Amino acid sequence: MRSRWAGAAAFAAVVTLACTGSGCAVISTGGSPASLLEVGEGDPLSVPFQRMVAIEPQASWTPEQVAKGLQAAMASFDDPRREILRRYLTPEAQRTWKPGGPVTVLEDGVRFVSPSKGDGKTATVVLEGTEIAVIDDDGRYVPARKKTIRSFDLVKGADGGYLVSRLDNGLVLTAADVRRAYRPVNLYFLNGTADTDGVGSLVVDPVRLRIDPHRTFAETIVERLLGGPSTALKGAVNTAFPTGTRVESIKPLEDVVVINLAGDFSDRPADSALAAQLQWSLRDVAKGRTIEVKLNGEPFYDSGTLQISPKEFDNWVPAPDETVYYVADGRVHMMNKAGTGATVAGTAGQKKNDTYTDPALSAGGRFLAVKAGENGIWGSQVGSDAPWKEWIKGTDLTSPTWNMDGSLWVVDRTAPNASQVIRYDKDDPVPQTPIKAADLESTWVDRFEVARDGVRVAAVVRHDDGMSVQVGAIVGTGATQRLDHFQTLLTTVEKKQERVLDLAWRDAAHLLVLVGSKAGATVMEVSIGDGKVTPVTSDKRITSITALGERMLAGTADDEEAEVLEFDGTKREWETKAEGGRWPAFSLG
Amino acid sequence: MPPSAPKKPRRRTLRQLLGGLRRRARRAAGQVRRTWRRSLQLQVVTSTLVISVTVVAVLGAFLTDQINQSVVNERVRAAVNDAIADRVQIVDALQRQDGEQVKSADPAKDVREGPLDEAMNALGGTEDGGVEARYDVLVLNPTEPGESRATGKAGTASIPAPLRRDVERDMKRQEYNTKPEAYRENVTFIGETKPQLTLVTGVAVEGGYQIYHFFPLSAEEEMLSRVRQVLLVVGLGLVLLLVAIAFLVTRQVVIPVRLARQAAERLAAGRLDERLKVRGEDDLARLATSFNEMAANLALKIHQLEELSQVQRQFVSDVSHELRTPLTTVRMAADLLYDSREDFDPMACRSAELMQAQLERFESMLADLLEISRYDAGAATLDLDPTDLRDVVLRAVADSEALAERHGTRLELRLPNEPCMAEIDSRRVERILRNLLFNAIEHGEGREIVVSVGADRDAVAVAVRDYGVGLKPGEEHMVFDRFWRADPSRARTIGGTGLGLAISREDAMLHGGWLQAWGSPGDGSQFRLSLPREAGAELRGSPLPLVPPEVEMRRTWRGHITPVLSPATGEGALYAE
Repeated sequence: MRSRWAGAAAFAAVVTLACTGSGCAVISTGGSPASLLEVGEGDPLSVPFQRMVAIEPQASWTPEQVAKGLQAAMASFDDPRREILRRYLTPEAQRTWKPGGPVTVLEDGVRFVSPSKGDGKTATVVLEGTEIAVIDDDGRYVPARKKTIRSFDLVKGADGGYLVSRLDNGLVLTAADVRRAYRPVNLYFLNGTADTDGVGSLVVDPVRLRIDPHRTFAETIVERLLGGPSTALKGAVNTAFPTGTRVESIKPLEDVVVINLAGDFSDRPADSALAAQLQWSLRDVAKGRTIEVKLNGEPFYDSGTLQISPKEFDNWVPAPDETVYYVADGRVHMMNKAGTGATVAGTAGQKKNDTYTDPALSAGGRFLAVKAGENGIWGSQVGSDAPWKEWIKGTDLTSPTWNMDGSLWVVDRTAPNASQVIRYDKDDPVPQTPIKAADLESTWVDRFEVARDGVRVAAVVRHDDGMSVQVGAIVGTGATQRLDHFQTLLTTVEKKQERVLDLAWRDAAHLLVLVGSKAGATVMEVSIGDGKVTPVTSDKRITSITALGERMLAGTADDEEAEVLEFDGTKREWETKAEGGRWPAFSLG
Repeated sequence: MPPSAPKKPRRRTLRQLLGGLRRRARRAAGQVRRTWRRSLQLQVVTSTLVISVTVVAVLGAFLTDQINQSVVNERVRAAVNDAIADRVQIVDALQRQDGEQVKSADPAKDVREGPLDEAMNALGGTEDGGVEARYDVLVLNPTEPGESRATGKAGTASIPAPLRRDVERDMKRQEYNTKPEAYRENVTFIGETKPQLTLVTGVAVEGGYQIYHFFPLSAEEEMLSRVRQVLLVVGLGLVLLLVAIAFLVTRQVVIPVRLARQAAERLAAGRLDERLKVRGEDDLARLATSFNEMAANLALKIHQLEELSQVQRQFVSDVSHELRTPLTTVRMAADLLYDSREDFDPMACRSAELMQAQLERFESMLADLLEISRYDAGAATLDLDPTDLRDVVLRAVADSEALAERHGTRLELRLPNEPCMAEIDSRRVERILRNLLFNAIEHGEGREIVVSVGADRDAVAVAVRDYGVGLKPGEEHMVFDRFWRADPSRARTIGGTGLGLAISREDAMLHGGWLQAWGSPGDGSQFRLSLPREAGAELRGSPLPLVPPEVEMRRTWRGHITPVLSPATGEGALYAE
């Protein structure tokens, strides 16, 4: 008995020693795999940012330093009441100066200079720089390029330091300030009415929004979304949010973002449109999380919550049809992504008697429009054996372009400085409708393209000193439809013999412009949001381009060696896709 | 009867209320103390609870402190390292700003940031592909416009004032790049209403710049509070577990002990067949075995004694009965002789008289013996009637008067005016009183005898006081023993049988009453009979004192305290006084 107990005790002692004395690891290895949070989950719905910190003016500062400090204080958005900024101003200036209105953005490297010595009590400081843009109150970033001068009058204050007694209203920021305090955001609005089936009905409205340290960036975005489209799209798009809707709070949870809205939702709009707008506008900050919408703190519906899963409304932005169409040997060919080409079915695949150029395909490639000669647009249904039909007859027509709603658009240059935009609805009793476009009517429109979102249009306008690329929007519907809100994005320089050869919408926010010059043809990408122009590539042969997302195809002019080229983004060179082909085109592009 | 005035609600003063509360508290404390002293289990469990709570609290506090220190120290160390690394980066950027224009790292990038902006972008994660920093940085230059930057939500108002003072002092003394000062403060950031615990470091660098870092400690705080919660729960669980273990272990030991106590109590109460269950072979099982053996032996002995006693009683009873028949014959012959004694010579005459007298005594002794054997056999019954005790006393006194006169003793009666009604067997009570009176007369040495009657709500009592030789200490109980004699050498003058007081006590007990004696040498003695007014009611006290008041007063004066006299019937005497 005794020896049995002694044995058990010895065994226990050995086990204890083995566990404690031989250095068992504190953190065990192995074990079941733990599920870890993905990076970005539980994110506080904000973007990282750095801020300018405003500091008070010092009595020892020179007038230039005071003006510089004032400009820096303008770039500091910590304090909504701008108390530090006001310390730079005399009481009189504090009363009269208004910080609101459009924000002027100057290129980096501004200079503060004193044109005169001053009398020791007063001074004038001039801010010299290049204005590169104006940010409107609605967040629209309007690019510009002009030299600008802002002057500040200063007087000596009671403590011996200078104070600003006069300055122009509005804030002046440098590009660096804007980079620090603003972020580009794509807001999404509805094309046409809100009760469509949704496919392709969202229109992007790129704006610049200021990061407010007092709240999350998501709140800023949603509040701006509720404020409606910017002036670039005013009247052209709709929103699903009733007027007066406010955002109460946005709470980031682990895999849900809860948005609490307040407002009168008694005329319940199309909830799916509202959800699509929210989901697309918050796509970058929600980072793949589900969005839950609440109304006045209660579930959105009486019966339950409105939850928007991350990919629910992906089809509300047009899905690209990647079939490429081109003309070769007098027939319209189509080519799938793999590069296999074939003639299209029906009349369009047959050889037409007279030559035609610039084919345009409607949504889904169902209808084909071509330009035959200077004054005729002929059309045909793809796959149908019905003969070609002359749809539009004009004086001097631009290439045809299809809108996603099925209408065909073209500009008729009736005189050297007179252009008329025409909409053609093939199923209407009176198919041809002249569309008012005040900005284009007294110009020569060289090219005209409707974007795939069905709202934006781009036009190349010829001036005396060159050509410019302008982007506008289709405003209104039916008889009152017009083109408006044109904004110049690119101007060619006549001296360099620059000409805009072709236009193509890459997506709703980016336009490709083919600019020809003595040196050759260059493809430029123009961002609609901030007017930034980025050269993509250049090639002497290219005369026409088409694009869809990342894909870019070009056609060459030479009849003998005509070919369809596709740009390889990684190798940064053109590859031949179809020899003998010309005028490549995607549907709606 | 006059109409009674409406009852006013009794208003109790604060003092009374406090007194009441104190009494209640004292009672509760007494209850607790009693429970505590009586329960071994409670004592063990309470001790375990106290000790384990103390140990767990000390251990928990130590652990919490250690974990706190290691977590916070580690965080502070990491934070200071981060702050130093960032400072190097920022100082490098600032020096470049002063000197040559830095070449952008990415030639494709057409936007060239200022060096300070670039450094801040790198720190704040605002550059392309940057990772958002877990802390905020504030670079402050109060002397140069447009040279102050911040990442995140840190503002100038977030800097703790003492840190700002320290950094500005370093700046004035031109002590740059010292080890960063670190403060743990509750800091309110821009756009937030609730301050959060933050580690703030600050340092002065050349060019009038102050660099502040804000490291949020909320995660650490949350972690530590969770650890504290876990420790608390675990500690509480441990204490409860220990208490439960102590409870179970003591229960295993205490339950057999408790059973043994209960069995012993039942055994003491006369249930001699009480036995303990024996389970196993351990100490408790052996205790139970020994107990059972003891109980069996006791039962056997008691049984034997009872049988013996029974045989003796039966013998006495039988002898008494058997003696009656010859005695009757002897008595008849003696009566004849006694009646004719006149004809005898004086010697024979005197013998006849003596024989007559002793025969009478023999008869009464025989009667008493029979009476006592009836009691022993449990055959005595009461013939109860509501009776005024005063009448019974008067009858007994009347019976004794002749004897008293012979002894020259005066009888003094102290009777209440009110009737003293009680349900009694008047024959037996009268016999008790007669016995007491005869006894008093016999030992009263001719001095007066006082007979007092008292009554209260529940009981009536009669006390017979004499001023004779009294009783020696300890004799108060012996007087009721059968055939007991204070002085064996002394002759019985009034022919008592030696059984009178024994029978009287049996009578008193049959009534549920007490018969008690008090006596002191030289002070005489007093016998007190206390009876309940209602037959069968428990007697709680006596309306008359056992010790005469004058003796009591004298005793109090002298400061002596005599031992409490126990009554003839068990515990009741405690309440009698």
